[in-house]
Amino acid sequence: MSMWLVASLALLIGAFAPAVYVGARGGPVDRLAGLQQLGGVAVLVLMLFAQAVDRSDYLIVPLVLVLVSFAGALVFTRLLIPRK
Amino acid sequence: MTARHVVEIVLLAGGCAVTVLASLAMLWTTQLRQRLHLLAPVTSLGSPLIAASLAVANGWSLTTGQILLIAVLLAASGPAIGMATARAGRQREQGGEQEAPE
Repeated sequence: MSMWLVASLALLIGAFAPAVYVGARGGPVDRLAGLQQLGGVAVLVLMLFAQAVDRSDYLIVPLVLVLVSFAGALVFTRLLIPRK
Repeated sequence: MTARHVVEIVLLAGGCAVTVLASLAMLWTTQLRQRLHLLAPVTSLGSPLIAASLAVANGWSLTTGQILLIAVLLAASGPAIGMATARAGRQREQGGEQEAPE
């Protein structure tokens, strides 16, 4: 098992799982903060996984995820603002 | 073990440690503002460290360029998302709680 795979597993257990927990509890904005943490950690896990399996073409997945999670978070914040 | 390998390990361990500690700290926070502050270490410190480790491992190549692009996008979008979320949280506090949209 390469150090990249060990690091991605460590992030999955130590960072991804807590972010899922935070994203599943509390109010809507608290859950959104957890979702944003989840997106950032998922990008790092996918980058490390692509390096672990030595497939640089897999890097397109975290690249798209960064852009999509940014747009998604902005849409969620827009929807969570109370309408006047 | 070469010096390059040691640099890779140090950068990777630092990035992983920052990311894991920030995520675990989120479990102990209850305030939204504290949680939003904990988003910054992952996007602004953890991801550049991990990307630097991957860049050292791959050398100068198109793969390294893509990795650095991902890290730059993550670091640039993180503060903007945190700010937008804080603004939404403040407006919800001022406008009263309402049900999340279906």
